[in-house]
Amino acid sequence: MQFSGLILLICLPLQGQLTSLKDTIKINEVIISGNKPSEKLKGFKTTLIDSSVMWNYSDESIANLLSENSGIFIKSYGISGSATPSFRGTGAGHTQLQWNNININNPMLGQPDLSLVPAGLIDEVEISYGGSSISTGTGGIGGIVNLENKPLWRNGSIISLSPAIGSFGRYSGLLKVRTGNLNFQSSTKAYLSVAENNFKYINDVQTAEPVQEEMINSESMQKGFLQEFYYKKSKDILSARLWYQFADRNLPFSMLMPRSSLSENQIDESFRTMLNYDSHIGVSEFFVTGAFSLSKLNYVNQLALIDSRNRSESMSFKAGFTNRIGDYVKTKFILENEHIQVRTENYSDNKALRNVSSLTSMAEINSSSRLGATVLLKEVLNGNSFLIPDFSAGLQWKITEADEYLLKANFSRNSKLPSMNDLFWVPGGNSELLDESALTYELTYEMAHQFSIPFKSKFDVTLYHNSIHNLIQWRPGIYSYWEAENVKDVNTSGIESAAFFEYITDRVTSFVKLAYTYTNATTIGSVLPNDESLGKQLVYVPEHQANAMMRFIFKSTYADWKTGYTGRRYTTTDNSSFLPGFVLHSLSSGYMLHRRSNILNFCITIDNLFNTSYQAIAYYPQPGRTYSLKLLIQITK
Amino acid sequence: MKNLFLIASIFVLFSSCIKDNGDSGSFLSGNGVFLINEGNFMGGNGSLSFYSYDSARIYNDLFLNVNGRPLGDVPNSMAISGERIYIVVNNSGKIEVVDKNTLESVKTITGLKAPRQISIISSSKAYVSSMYSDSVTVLDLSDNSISGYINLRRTSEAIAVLRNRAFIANWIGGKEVIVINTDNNKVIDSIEVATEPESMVIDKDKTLWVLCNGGWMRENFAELISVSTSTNDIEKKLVFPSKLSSPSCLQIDGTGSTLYYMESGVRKMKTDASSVPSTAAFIPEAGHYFYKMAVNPVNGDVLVTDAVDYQQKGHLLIYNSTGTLKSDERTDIIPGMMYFRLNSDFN
Repeated sequence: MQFSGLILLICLPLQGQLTSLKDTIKINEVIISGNKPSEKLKGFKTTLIDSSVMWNYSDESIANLLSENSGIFIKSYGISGSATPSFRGTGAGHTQLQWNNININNPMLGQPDLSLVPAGLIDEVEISYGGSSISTGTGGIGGIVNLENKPLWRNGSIISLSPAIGSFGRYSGLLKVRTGNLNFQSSTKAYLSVAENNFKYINDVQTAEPVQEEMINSESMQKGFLQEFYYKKSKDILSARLWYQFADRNLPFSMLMPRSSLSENQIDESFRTMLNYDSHIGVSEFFVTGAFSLSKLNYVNQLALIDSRNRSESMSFKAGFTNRIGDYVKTKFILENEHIQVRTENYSDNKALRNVSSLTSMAEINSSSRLGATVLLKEVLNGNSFLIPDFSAGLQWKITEADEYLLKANFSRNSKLPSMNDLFWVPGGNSELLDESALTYELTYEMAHQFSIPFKSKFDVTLYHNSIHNLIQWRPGIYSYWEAENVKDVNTSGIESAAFFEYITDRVTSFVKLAYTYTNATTIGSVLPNDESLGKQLVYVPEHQANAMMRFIFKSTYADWKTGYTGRRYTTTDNSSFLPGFVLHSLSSGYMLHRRSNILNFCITIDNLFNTSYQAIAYYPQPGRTYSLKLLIQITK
Repeated sequence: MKNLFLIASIFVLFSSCIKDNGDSGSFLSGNGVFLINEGNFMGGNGSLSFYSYDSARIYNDLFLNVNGRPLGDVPNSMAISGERIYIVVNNSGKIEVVDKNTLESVKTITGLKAPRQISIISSSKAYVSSMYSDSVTVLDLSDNSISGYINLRRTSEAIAVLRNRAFIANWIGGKEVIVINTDNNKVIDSIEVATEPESMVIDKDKTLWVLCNGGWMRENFAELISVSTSTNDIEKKLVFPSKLSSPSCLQIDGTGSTLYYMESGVRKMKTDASSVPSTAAFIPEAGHYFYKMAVNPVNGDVLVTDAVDYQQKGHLLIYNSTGTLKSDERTDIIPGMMYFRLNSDFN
């Protein structure tokens, strides 16, 4: 039996502070630390993945979280490899990853690696789609994923410990300590995860007869530490955060590569600090945030004799002022500056600098309780050059007074600067690159309806269209090495829809979540005269994705069933070859024991229930059926 | 059950190949040119094509169709010896040995470190260069195994063979051509040429021509250098006029008197020329993205590959000896090196 060697391991879902199981499907635990530009904009689409979902992923990365709880497609290079997002058919560099509204994309690559962020350290994830990203950052043509940490204003302490154990040598542990009072809060989180990732798979491409192989060179170790302090006086809040993250990963081989003892290894280390002050003066609010981030990326390829050491530092400053004019108008101004310094032997002079400032002005109008609008204008200064201003405008209409039936529409222009590697990498970096820009149109319908006392439903559907101009791609140039160029114009359009049905009685809670995403992402213009990619779907952008989840809770026992479908993904730009779609199922069940305010919870999960063989990236096998066992011990004083 | 399915799948694939070709695969024994499609690095979509002069059409995905599995990650070169074809697959660290007429897999030679180019030394011996290893691998063609290594103390790329001498270029970061006595596999000399010798040919006078591209950063001028194969002395150095010149893929025609290379199009020059040509390209790129080229040794056709955006099926462009386009065929991903298979009846 394939999994006979494993002892059923821990999967213990919880890591967050829970009060009861039913609370895990109601979002009411977190107290907002202050007004932030991430506040929802009228007429725009944002979604929140709150702590009730987050606790299921305490021993996983946010790549898995987003893959199963959003329409974002995650391009994963195997179980310990990198994982990059594709938002509405856009590239990984078109997604901006933020930590409490400060950009933490790798400055060199200009894109995030979501496999490096443990979900257990994060309290909530807010996703801003398309034009709504302009309010909180620069360059999120696809959107912005904001990782949030928030205080829990209460007297006393909450201590939770979440060990987990799983197939293929996976062990992890998360410790969280929250303590303080109504004016001061401290939150400490520490995370450690190790994995052998030595799963078996069938290799049917290396030799004439298919052979079963065991994954080698895919061990990983991650550890993280996050400390937060919050001080509140009246409505003013001062906060300080410090986050250290370390990952040492052997990068898995493709099935077509020889099984060698020569490994490919990547070490990512980051240290981030942040100081934030939120204040209220009368009807006005302002905030100031300063942040420093140091990132190291060391890549070693023993076969190719590559030892690449890269270090980047960024200093960020952000200040915002919100004022109310009369009863209906709210204005907001945000000033932001980011100074980046990269040190690497891969750039000429071994370093490069960039300084980007922006001023965002926003007006939000609520002419009545049913009609709202937002107008937003952003000017970006890159070094000494002003860019063409970005803008967005959104309109929101509450269709009926009684129920939550909303219609939202918006239009925006968003732009993205080339990454530091696009500009400065030797060879191939191109300092003459133009900014990428996108025009986005979006229409959303949302409804929430209470059919009867125990039965409630929510539904939303969004239509969008992006026209991306001057898309940057790397391709071989005349000197036989790859060069960055503005080569194509791309259109992405699609549908995002989600439905939620909930049934709650005194003894039983159950809900069903359904989501479907259609993405049509095609090249519409190219500098190449005989380009067969025109009109074809972009590589590794599935046209169809669907997720379903069902939860059933009876007294202290609960069970989840999740399934996800990822459609065909083309691997060539002329769509001449593709990876077939796949369906994955997972099942988990657990028991939560309450004693006064203390909680003991355990859960067993089976991922890839039917042992489906699939690939997210061609020839990088993914694990089959996986077992995990998680435990949560939470003590509240 | 799985094996049955696999066998059935292979049968269906092969059947469809035969049906598609309409000639039971006999095109392989006719006149034509094999084309290595490199595919994307780590993409695993490398493949083998054959352009048949007899039917004037291209046959793609031959290795997959016949053997039911992909060729591997970045096939780079091949050679024909007797009834066998040896296909070097760079990033898979292997050589696929197939039957010359059916392309059925005979053996897979594994354990090579970043192999690049293969050259047949004799009916029982071949050399394989390496992009990362400091040794050339010696193959025993009688049982298709690795029989030894020749330590060059540097990486290797192009191989040219004349009598019992093999000339091996140290391309990446190098400036030498290493000379090996093929009788005893010993290094006997090294010739300092210029920065990054990328490709080599031997002309009718048994002179070795070495195209040095000046370095990938264009830190030096590219040079075309002729070397006496009897004395290993440099006879002529033709320096390209600009550091921005980026010549590659040196080839020679069937008479051994005209050199061809790519530099913003295809250029050609006589071996007795005193300088590299400064006139317009013999075949301009004209919107194409030229990647590799070859010259038909019998009729002088110039075959050029166009990789387009390197992520879609490329093109094989066949020009006649005067530079007129005869045919444009769709290949697979990143069409690269070509190898002629011409019978005595070809003209």
